[in-house]
Amino acid sequence: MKDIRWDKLDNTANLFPVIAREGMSNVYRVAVNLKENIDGELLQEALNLVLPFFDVFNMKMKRGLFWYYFETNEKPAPKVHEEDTFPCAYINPYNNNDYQFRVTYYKKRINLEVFHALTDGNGAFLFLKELTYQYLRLMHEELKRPELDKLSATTSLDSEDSYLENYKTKAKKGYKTEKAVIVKGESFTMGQYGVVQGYINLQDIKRVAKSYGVTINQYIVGVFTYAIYKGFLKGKPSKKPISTCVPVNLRPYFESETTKNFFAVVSAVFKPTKESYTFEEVLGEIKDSLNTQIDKDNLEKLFSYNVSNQMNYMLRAFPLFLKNIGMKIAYYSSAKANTGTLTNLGVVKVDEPYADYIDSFYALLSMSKGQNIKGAVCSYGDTLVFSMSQGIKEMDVPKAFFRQLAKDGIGLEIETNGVCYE
Amino acid sequence: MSSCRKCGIGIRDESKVCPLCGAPLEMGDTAHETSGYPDVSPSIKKMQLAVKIIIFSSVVAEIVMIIVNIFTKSDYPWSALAGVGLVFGCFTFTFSFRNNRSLQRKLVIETFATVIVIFVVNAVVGYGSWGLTIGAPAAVAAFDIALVCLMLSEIRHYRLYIFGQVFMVALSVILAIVCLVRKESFYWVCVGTAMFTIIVLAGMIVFGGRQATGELKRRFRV
Ligand SMILES: [Zn+2]
Repeated sequence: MKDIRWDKLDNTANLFPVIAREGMSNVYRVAVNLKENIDGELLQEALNLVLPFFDVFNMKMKRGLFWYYFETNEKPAPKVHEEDTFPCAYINPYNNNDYQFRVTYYKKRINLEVFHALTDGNGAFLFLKELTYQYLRLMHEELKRPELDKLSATTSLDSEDSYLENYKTKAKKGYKTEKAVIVKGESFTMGQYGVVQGYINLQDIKRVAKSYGVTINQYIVGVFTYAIYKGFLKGKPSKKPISTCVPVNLRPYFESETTKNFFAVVSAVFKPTKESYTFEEVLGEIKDSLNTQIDKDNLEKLFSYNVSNQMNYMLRAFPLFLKNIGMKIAYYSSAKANTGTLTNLGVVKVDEPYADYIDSFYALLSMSKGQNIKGAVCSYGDTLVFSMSQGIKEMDVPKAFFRQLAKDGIGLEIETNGVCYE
Repeated sequence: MSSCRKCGIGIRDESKVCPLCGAPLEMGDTAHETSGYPDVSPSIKKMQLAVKIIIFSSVVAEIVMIIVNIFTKSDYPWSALAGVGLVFGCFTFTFSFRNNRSLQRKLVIETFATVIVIFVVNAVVGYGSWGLTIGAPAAVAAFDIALVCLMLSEIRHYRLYIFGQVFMVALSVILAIVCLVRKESFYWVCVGTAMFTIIVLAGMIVFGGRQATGELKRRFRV
């Protein structure tokens, strides 16, 4: 009999099973818009073919006495079905063949929804792209080739824990506990939230960012902060800062190609101490705040503290339920330290023959404790898609966000999930 | 796709007004459409409603019983006993009647709950320490037999049940040790149950071979 393949959770992944529950699913979505309607049965077939190649997804999570761990899932792939809930709903593995991700479709769109313990957005895009390629190969005669049903050459299958490979010992506490502005309002019933997406002209936003002397990333975080300042604080001074979590993909900094989680979170901080700031002033502060944090040394410090805890022999010997209590306390005490999250997944590149069939990609985050507003960005071709999700009914922040883009003369098309019109 | 001239933006969903300024939209071509989102009307979860009703009526019933118990000046605390039963019933209903956990986890948790209920009833009713010497070990033995049956029905996945069996061993050994430390004269049910669970676990490991030891190594990795 062959031995069972198993794997540890990566360093950040350890937190997610502890805090995940209905209403705070820690599930995010990556999706692709094709130019044609999706056939559910073919999509299921494509998933069945692709899944065995992806160790990170082909897993079930088990509970040991001291740690959670992954074990190869021998059940058939989860059932592909039409989208019938709000995005990023809680995944109960018991009803999902023990898998921690789901694949759904709606009209022309394929959704991949992933529990964050498996991997981050960059890892999820690799899987979504292969799934899409396979689906298109099944669907279109002209794409069928001799090397059918193999992964594309550029897809990494490396599943190392890059945190462990790259951490430096002796790091100080990485997460902060100073309280930030919390966006409050009338909340939705559990599991529901508003989605407002902007399909943005990439060339326009490039030009505008350049004219302000910032990168696209800094510009978007700047507009996001400004939108909270204008839309929620109504341009008034505040004792607490607006602090936005900005996850940084660590793969390019540490030459990793892992398909597991590998990111660190920096905070873009803006504290409105005086009356009325202009957009340029806010953007300037955000630019400085990000510039001081995003360099290799600082990023290394950020994750080394968590890793050194994980490596500590004393802490390792605590039973899992005690570890979980500790992690919950740390998580909830730092939950109010951030106003929102904005993640930029960068440019999605697609292999040549498939590009003609793909319209756009997007990513979408779910709500977490204390953070009622989040944004996710990715770009493909000439379009950058900004997806804002929010746990409150008031539309002031997304309105302020897109108004600023429109004011800067950026070509923009908006789509919502409808709940905010009620 | 429609557009708002005032804001200079396009609108891809079916809204009649601009989401930014509320002005009516100009209808345009339908060339660049994305899929939008399905209309998910919030469904009332029947299960949650049932849980609420049962917990509410249990609380009402318990309050009524306590009042009757006090006013009839009964020396016997029968309302407390009924309360224990109600709490256990509510727990079982909310926890085990839902289709969201594996049977094994339900069994293990129900075992713990039953042992606790037996101790509480023993404390209320009195009559020596029958809860420890007979009640609790008998319950553990019964649940362990259920676990073994479950495993045999799914013998291909017997590996999954090793961890549950480890919990049963831990529970029954603790009961046996408490029994012996307190020098209970009637200790053989406890000791017998502990031996039974240990033999079952040993059997699983011996017949399971490398798969079983691998499973244990993973579960107990520090
Ligand atoms: Zn408008």
